[in-house]
Amino acid sequence: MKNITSKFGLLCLAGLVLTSCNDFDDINIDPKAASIDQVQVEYFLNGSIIDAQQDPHVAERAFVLYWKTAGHQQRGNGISTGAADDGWSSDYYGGGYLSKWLNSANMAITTANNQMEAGTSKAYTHNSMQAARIWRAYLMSELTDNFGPIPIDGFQGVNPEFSDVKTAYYFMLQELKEATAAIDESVTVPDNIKKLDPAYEYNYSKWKKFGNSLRLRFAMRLSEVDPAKAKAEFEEAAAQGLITTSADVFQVQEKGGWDPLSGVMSREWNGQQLSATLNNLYIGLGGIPTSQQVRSALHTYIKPENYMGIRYENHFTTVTNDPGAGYWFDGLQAVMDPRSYKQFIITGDFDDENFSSYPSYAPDARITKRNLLNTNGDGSTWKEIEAKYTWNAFANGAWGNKGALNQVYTYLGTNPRLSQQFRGSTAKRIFFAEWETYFLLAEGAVRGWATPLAAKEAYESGVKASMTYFGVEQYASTYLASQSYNRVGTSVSWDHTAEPAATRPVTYVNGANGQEATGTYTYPSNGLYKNGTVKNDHLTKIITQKFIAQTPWLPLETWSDHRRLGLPFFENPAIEIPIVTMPALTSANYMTSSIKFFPQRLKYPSSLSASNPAGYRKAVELLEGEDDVFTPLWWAKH
Amino acid sequence: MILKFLLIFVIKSTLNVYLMIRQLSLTIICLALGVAAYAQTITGKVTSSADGTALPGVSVLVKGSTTGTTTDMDGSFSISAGSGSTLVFSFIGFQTREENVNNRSIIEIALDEDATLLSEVVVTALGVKREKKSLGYALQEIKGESIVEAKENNLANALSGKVAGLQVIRSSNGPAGSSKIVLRGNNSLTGDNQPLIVVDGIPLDNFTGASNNDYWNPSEDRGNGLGDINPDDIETMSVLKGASAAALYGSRAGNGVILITTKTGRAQKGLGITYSNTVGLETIFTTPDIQSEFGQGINGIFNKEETRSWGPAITGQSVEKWNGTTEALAARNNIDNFYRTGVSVNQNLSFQQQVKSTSIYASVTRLDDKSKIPGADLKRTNLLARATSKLGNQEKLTLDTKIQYINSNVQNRPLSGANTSNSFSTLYLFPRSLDITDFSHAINPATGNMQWYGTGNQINPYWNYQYNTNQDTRDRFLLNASLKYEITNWLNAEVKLGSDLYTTHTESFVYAGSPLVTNGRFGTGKESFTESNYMAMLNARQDNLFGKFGLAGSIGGNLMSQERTWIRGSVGELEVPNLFSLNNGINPASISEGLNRKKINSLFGTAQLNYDNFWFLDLTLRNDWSSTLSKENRSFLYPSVSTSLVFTDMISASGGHIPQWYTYGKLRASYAQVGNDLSPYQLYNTYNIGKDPNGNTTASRNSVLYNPAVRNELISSVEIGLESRFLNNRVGFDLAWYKSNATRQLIDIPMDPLSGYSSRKINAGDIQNTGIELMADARIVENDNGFSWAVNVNYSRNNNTIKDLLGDEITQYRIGGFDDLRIEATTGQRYGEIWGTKFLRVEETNSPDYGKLILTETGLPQRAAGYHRLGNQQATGLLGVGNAFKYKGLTFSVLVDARFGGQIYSGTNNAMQYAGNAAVTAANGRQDMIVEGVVGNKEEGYKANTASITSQQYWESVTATGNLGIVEANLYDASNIRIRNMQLGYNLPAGFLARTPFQRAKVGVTCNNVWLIKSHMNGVDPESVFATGTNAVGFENFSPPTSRTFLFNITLGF
Repeated sequence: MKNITSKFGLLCLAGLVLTSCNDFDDINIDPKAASIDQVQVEYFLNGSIIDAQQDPHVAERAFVLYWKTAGHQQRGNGISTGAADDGWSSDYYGGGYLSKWLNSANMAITTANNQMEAGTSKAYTHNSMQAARIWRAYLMSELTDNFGPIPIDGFQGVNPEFSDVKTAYYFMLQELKEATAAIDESVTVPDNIKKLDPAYEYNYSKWKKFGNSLRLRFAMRLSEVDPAKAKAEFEEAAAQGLITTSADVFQVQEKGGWDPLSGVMSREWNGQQLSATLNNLYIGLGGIPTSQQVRSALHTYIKPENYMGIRYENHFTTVTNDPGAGYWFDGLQAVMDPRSYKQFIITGDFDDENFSSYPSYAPDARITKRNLLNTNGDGSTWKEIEAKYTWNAFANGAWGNKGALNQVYTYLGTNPRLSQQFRGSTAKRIFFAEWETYFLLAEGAVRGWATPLAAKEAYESGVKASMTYFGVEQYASTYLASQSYNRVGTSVSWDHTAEPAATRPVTYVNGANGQEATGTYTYPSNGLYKNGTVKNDHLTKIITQKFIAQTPWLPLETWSDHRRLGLPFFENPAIEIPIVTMPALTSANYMTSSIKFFPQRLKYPSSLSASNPAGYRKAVELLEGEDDVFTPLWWAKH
Repeated sequence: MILKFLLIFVIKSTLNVYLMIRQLSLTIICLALGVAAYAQTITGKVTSSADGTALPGVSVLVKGSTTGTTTDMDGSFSISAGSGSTLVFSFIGFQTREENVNNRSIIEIALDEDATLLSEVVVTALGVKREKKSLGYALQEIKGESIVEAKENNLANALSGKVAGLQVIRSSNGPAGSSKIVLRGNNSLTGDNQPLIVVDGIPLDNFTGASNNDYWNPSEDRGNGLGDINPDDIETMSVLKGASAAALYGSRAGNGVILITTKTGRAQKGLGITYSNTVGLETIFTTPDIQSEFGQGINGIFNKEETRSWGPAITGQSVEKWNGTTEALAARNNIDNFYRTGVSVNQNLSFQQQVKSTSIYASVTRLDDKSKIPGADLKRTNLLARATSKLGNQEKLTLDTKIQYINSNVQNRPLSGANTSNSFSTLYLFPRSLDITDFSHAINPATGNMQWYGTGNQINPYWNYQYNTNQDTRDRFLLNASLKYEITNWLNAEVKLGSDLYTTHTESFVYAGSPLVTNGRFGTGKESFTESNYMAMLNARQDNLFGKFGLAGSIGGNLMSQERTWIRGSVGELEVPNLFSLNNGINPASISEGLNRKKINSLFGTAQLNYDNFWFLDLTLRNDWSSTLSKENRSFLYPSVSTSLVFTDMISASGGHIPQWYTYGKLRASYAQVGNDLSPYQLYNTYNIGKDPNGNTTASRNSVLYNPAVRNELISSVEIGLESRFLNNRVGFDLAWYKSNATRQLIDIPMDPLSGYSSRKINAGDIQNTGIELMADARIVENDNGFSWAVNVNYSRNNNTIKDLLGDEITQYRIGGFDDLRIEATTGQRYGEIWGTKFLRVEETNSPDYGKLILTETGLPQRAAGYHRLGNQQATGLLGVGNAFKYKGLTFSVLVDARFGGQIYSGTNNAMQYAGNAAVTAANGRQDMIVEGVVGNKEEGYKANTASITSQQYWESVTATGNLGIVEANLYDASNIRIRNMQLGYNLPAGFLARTPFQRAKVGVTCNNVWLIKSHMNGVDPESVFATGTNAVGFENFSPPTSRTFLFNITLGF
């Protein structure tokens, strides 16, 4: 009996186990996951383009705090004083953002190949793949322009090998060449597929133009290090269809909320104050008086053309080569580039519909009265500053005690800030606009490369396109004829290449006693470009115009242009006290320009050395320098 | 086939099994009737000499025969025996007694409790009660009373310092925060390394901590599953430390097992009702050392908008504050002013009684815990009903059913991480002269927005807990039913089924009007979990089978199925402010859902051989079939063997002589392997299909690269132990040495995301833990009616090393850390090496300046290039010393808990130094300083630094490089010694109670975290680690402060 019972039990258990394993294979299939047969090329590409619009988390880090600051489109420290944040870089590089966008673009290509091999592709699959290749080339340029050496054969499920920047650029150029050539414009696309392309709705002609224009951009990047390759690629691309009208622009509509389509500059606490660099370009450029640009109620605030402002020795830094340093400008400039008042809004001008009241949870954007404090350090007021209807932009850097005594220089309500037009999540984020094509053509022509337009025509078309975008096209003809110098000694007129005099007389007010005084303005010396001897040649004009036109949508490009050419003039960070993260800049050398005073790249995320040690070692080797913010990329000034 | 089908049905249905066994029992009874009865029938009753209660289940044996019986629920028995024979009464926990029948037909007998504890009976794997001396592995049992007395709301915390080799890692994340238990070190690189929790034979899902532990925005710590259990309901907890002890639990027991046995009804004098009420007060245990000499500002200059405290010396000078009013500058007590005194009320009403053959235990507990963190609030209700009945004519059938219901509701789990919603960082970094209570209204009445100073994206902590809120509720059932049938006096069959079912509902709300999101946002989610286990076992036991050999064995099978489903929805920004609905988003809600299913089928067998009750040998074997592995790899087998030799008994039995003072000695040894499987759906690569904000379809790759060929993990362990007791059992120790190797681990090795995946799943690694554990106890003074003093000591030392990761391919794995702080597992090194940046120093050993800081020309300290090994997070030793004093009804105990060795990086200290709030930043009165060190370089030589810098410049250069500064500067020794717990209790004397309706009455006061005697982290508690959900515990960054609790308790029995 006992035996029977035990055997009975054993049998029972064994039987149970055997029968119950039958459904194991079914159980272990995730019912919510898709198989490779269920995913489509266009799903991947749509995901990639949408995600690359940057949700507010990564947009604040990459677009705003890295690119806009490094590209000097806004005032700020951080990356501009040598401090890359590993958390931000990790986020941007990582599997949640840039790597994911690239991954999806690669998956689109892989899936298309698979489907074409398996015979399951649609008529448009081949073209979708070419669009994905063009888009991937753009994303790869983001990666390499930020970090340097990158893999060109990643996303294969193994840790990739890194290639040098040159190889990456050659690969991207080749991809653009092949992909644009392979697009068959006769294919029709069904409506349900069109909506899976947020930029062009699979208009193949536009995709080709985008590919060709990107090729111009990438070719030009090699202008200083590999001019032969740059010329060859540039000329081949320039001979094809390019983005030349506003209808061709590669742009994606932003939306409210909090997701990848939310405005890339929508985080309310980012001040987005005007940079000194941009201000030095604006002032005097184009010869259009402010009185023509602002409503008459503001005319009384306009100051004379040679006026520098009030000099407050103890409150505004002078330890920088920013030519406007040391002054508080207590009104509006007499002559300004007309785009300035569209890109940035006059302090305290609440009647301007584009005045940004961000942050909406605090009153600071609308407070214009602030103080300079007594130097005894007790926090008491030495002088109240009314900043309403004023226009200032200050050098970044370490202001030391002067900063501690100054409630004005970084405050929201006392500085011109980016127009709400670009912050409210209602604009279209631009990746490539027609003016950039024109400026690239102009630069190519200046270099003697074959272009479909002459240099002057291209330059002027670029300026006009940009002025049209900002709604100031009415000033274009006057503007283009202007020989008025801006603060860095550059004028607009193509044919006017006379250099400014080294100095010019100015007036100012001595802040200590309120007395008017006269002085001498010295144009800054940009040692990064032709040893600082040239301020008004064609290339300087082109890059000056390109810089203004690319504000605020393409800060990565303004950063790259400066790294490549040292143009336009970037002021050094102020160095009242040492900057821990920029040891090269000292009180002895702050009047000279050096690539050691401007960030050149981002450090690889700290996780890379652990997740891909061999790849990381190779990347640093190919970088030919330390994995550091100040190591220049292959195509940059060395 | 029919038979097989029938059998499956039988196992899955308790009722059918019951019917079946009843049939069997009838057969057996018929057989038994055939045995000739020549002897007389003796009846009687067995009671406990201590309190006179009846003792059920006592074995009654006619000496020298195989005739025997057990007492029933009333302690009564009936047996046939010769008039001159001797009856042997034995019962676990009591001294065995022999009684000569002497012609009597009624025998009443009282058994003495076994005070020597030598035959201590403990609950072992599968709920089998065994004499501790027969165990060949380390097992430590904790009685329910000592758990209840600690009065910790989270059961895991009650284990602190009580078990050698067990470390409790607390999160301090509010009243319902998690605590993590690690037994004998970490076995896994990535797993949670926690033991399996088994409640009355059924595994409990002991989820722990937050699902996401990133540096910036970790998700909320949702507590640990064990925290749902009500300590009052616990009879005993057994901690099975090694794999050998746990091998029978299979693949999930690689990190040991904690067995929880809930109370069953015992016969009680009186009604059997007990009421207990505990009122607790919670305050901050320790806060970072903070300076009070300098106010808001920078460079010594006051600034009403500055977020740091580098302003002027506070002398009571008049300043204009943030809102334009004028006040005298003063240092504020912001931390104390913001926190409140937490109040918790825990009421427990329980009933236990034995009615005929049925014992009943029922309890209801209600906990209301308003934490010291404003807004954080835990409400928990526990209901438990358990009934055990002996059924059938001969009461050979035992039915045990239990229903446990837990409802918890948590408001406002604290938000952590390096982000603006972390109120703790806001408070610690708040300018010293700014008064946090200025912002207590949260809302600016003029604008309706959050009230704050400055323009940053900081969140007012008062606003945060009222308008950035979360809540979660959980309904949980733990259900058990078992049916056991005594087929013969040596064979029984048992079927058991049990389930752990819960549903958690979460919601999070952010209101409009703050930097977080203009119009507010909303998220909600539901997660349901079910685990069911069906188990069937046959147990046989026969002593003196062949001569002095005894044999016991079991075979059994288990079917486990698990299902977890969830759905979550969120809207990033609301269209209509403060209308919290998924349909009120500016963009459509994003929805995620999931379904995880998993099954494990198992067969197991055990055999125990003993010789003359002094030598024991245990063998176990288990095979698991898991649904999560591929067909080829789904079946895995693992064995264990353990042996125990009570050499004192052996010497006695063989006529040898043992010195009088040496009471008891035992040697034990064991070897075991335990396997472990995978989570579901981790074999084949899949893709995600989703929706973009325009409502169009997107696709993406899964982030982990899977490999269908992965196999089960395997943990092998070997252990030897020596137990000795002296001086008539007054003093004793238990010493264990162990070594375990976790191999073939299933880990996600991080990949470069440019590979297409963030990580890949591989079998890798050989992680070794070796260690010793010492438990010692002494009853120094013993006097039942007077003063008694007992001491017990737990000491453990574990060394956790990485023998291998993946050969030469992968030699380093980052467990955690952030930025310049890296906590690594590196082949050939100890687990948890801390790497980071260090000060730039003169490295040439032959230089007279060797070791000095190399400063910049301007006199600032610098960071050396590269990353350097700075320490290790592992403790080198854990010590718990408990002293218990007793005088008549008065008891007093104190538990001192110490951790020695290991380092921890403190992000809190770093950030407070940067902010100028840390006390060290005011140490020299903020005089300008010339940092001791040199300037220059190796080539041109060094010269002494003469450049003077400000205190602010010094601390900025130390703390402001990267997010975490120069790591070396804020790496601390994590050693600490604390009085963990003190308890004072008084049992009201029986004489006094006789005049009252009470049977028992006890009052007590308990204090947890009494005194941090020694610590090195400038007031940051080394226990407040960054997160319990990560193994990188050598990292701390703005966790909520730990608590000190005072608990006043009264227990009344009716």
